[in-house]
Amino acid sequence: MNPQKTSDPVVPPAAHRYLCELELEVKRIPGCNPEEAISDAREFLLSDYDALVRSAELPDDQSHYDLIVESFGTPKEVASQYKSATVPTPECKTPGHAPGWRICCTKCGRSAPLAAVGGTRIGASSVHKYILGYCHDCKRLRSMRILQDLDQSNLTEMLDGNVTTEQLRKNLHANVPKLVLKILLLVFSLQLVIFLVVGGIVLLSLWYSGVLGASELDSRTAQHVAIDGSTLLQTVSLVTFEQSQDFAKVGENLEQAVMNNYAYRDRLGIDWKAKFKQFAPRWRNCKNDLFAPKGPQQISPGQRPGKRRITIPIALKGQNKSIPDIPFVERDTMSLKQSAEFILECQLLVMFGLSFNVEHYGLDIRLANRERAISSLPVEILKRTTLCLNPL
Amino acid sequence: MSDLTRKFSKELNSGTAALALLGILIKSKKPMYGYELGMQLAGISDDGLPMNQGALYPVLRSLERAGLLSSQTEPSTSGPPRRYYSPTPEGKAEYRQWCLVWQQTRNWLDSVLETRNEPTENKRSGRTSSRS
Repeated sequence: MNPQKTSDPVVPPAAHRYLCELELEVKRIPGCNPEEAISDAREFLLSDYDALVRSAELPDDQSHYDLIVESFGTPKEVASQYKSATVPTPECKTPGHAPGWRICCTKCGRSAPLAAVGGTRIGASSVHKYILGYCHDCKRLRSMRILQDLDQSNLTEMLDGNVTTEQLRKNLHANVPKLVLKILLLVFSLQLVIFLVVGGIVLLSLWYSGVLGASELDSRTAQHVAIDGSTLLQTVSLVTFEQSQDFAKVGENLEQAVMNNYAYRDRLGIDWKAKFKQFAPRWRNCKNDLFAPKGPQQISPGQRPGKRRITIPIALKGQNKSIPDIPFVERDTMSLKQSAEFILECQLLVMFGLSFNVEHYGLDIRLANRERAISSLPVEILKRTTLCLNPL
Repeated sequence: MSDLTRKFSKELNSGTAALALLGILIKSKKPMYGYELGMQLAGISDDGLPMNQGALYPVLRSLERAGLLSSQTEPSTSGPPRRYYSPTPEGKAEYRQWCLVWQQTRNWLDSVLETRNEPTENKRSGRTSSRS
């Protein structure tokens, strides 16, 4: 063994011609590895040519080609010998139609014409494509590559120089699992960044508007307070009946809560101090639960306490009869401009789930013969049973 | 050589090539590459190699795939990178088994070919005596 590296060897024209012919023959045999066959033949032909050069018996191109065929065998014979030494591919009962396309394992290089393993590919716009399949040489699931080089001698050109078959495969095929992992990591990190940025903005805005400061306020009280100033009377009565019967104390608590913690205090444009001042004598003097007997009558005409049943919101049922049927929560309809906020809230990873969601839709695709609702031209239809997981 | 003879030769050599390659690699004590193996096999006999050199490489690949040989690619000074093959322990163990099988097959074939030359009358008398 000589580990010393040298310059790229020169392939004589006859040897190059032989290698191209061999490549075309081997590519047409299902289960063969064209890279291995070319690499082996190349090793022999160049070593033989080197011996010829040393013996100073350089023949012309045609004679050299004949010599190669005599010593190494015709390309067809050599290809058939590789065929007998390979693990046979699974039998395909319905061969497809894919002129010029072949499928190969990206790890070991085992190859077959796409049509021979049941694939149909006509007029496809993509140059190549990766699928998942079981390789009988590797004996495990591998990413398979479908590429259009069945009638080309591209591997002979690529194996030129000191390139080994392993290096060739590494250069030729993308590492699909690593690529998918990279994309997933990128998407996840992007989503994390977006989540952190948006979350930070929301938290900052909440903190700025004082919502966080109002967390101590009783949630139900806060809900009731979220009304305009004209219904403050009902609010006070409600809070009064929810809490203890000490109405004066409750009124003070409510005033303190509104003035200190209520987020809508300034936005509603109400003179809260005047309002509290106006209603303070009323709840201070109140001694029973008939604090606001006229409130419902004023706001909801036709509903009189004691005569007709007043509809009470679910959260307030069983608490007091005099509570009017009015919405306490402020309605804030969203304009079209604000709908962009929903886009920020949606999960980006949902997009990956879509591919699984629509995967079975392919079953509905048929030829354009009006047999099914979804029709398509026969551009690219893969026979799932054979090609999906067991092509080679 | 007729087509039938060529076919017979090919079928015969397909099995024996693996045995010959494994044997020569075990005896050589050092890794060898395809061309070197072919030259050595061709030089053993005056008749040369009974098969094409191209038939050796698929056999080497299948032996490697079966785990009987291991290979390593090394750059060369006068050509493309060469794949050097060496036998694995499993290959050495398998080689001993194959030699025994080959001995049995050769003995059986020799005896078959020898009996063909015997006179047919002896055979007939033998058959009649065994029936009686």
